[in-house]
Amino acid sequence: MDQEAALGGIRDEIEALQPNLIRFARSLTASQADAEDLAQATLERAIRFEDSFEPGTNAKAWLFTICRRLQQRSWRAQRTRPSVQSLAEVGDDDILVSPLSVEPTVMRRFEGQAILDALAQLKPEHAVPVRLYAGEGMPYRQIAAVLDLPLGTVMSRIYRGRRMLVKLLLEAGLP
Amino acid sequence: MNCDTARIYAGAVADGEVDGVPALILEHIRQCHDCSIEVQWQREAHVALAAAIAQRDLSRIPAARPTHSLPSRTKPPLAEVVTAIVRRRSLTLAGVAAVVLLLIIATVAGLPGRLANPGTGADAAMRDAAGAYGRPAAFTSTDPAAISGWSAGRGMPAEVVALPDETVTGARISTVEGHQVMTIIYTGARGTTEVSVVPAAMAGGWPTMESKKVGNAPVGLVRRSGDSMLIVAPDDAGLHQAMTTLQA
Repeated sequence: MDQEAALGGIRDEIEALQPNLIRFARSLTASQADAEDLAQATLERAIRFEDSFEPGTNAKAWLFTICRRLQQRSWRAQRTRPSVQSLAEVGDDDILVSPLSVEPTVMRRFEGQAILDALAQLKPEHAVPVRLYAGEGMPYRQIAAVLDLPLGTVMSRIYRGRRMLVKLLLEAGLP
Repeated sequence: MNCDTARIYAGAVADGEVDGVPALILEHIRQCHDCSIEVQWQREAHVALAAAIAQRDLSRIPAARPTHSLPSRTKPPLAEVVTAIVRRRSLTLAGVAAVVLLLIIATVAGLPGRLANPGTGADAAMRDAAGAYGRPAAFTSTDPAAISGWSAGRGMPAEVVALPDETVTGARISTVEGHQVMTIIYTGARGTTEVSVVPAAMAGGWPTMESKKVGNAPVGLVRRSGDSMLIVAPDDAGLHQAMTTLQA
């Protein structure tokens, strides 16, 4: 395959990944408008530096890594975290020791929208890896690479994120 | 070893992501009733969440092209992306143009019979499947049950159908028309055959069976009452064999 064909391939792939990219950007930002700006900036950067993409590697991970780095740069520039604060201000210790008195299968009774609403209430550090795994199907190692986190931290955050999600749903009451 | 230390890994165990989980932890979770329950909670939470996300995404077809609302920029390197965005804003016009283009290509290539009734979205789906052909497996196993388990764990349960002269060797998640689907990878003497399982909601306008060449790759689709299949094979004989088996 010549270089031009390879570049055409990655551009097609980038275009196909735009919905995924906006969803990921949304999980990193405070509003839909910010997410669209971030996605746009990511696309610009990806196209500008498309030569740096290695054919045969994972385009989604490459794109998401660019996105996460851009957002991190923006946070650093503002010297602050995203303006929207999580509604789920539940301490980790509480999460880890609170017993669940119902069967796990109770999760099947919740409607999709209730689950998505609960997900939206999680802190970004928990919601992002949980969403990358459930929504994008990324393996843990890839999530670790995209978010620049140790593998163990990804494991812990996914565990805590789901635990918080369950807690929020149960607190809202069984359907 | 106590439960507080071990249960941090419950999510990874539930997901089969035990690569970096210490053996002592795995042993504890296997033997501890409370930790096993924790693993079940993690599995149920993931399946419910993955289903909720998939349901939301499917409900957005075809309006879920979020690129509609992207602000347009005029920098030259983005020209192609922006062109695509503008094109999507006029879906009807784009659809007509695509049909005309397909007919021209089909006529030039001498394939009018094959594309006589391509079905809504079928061509794009076949193109996406061909584009993803040959990418590495995210999960490697020759055990169909293990692959089914892995796919179910990702909220995309997929039946692993036995193909003649082929051995299942792994699976990965692919993107077809902007949606994630489970792709099962088979290996045989001819080469690699890939079968992507497409939810019924995505295959609504597809023909019952269709095959064509995308580039040099033989690609087929089989529409069934439940999940439908996109197949990419190493050669025409392999494609025919796989399609016949899957249709049955």
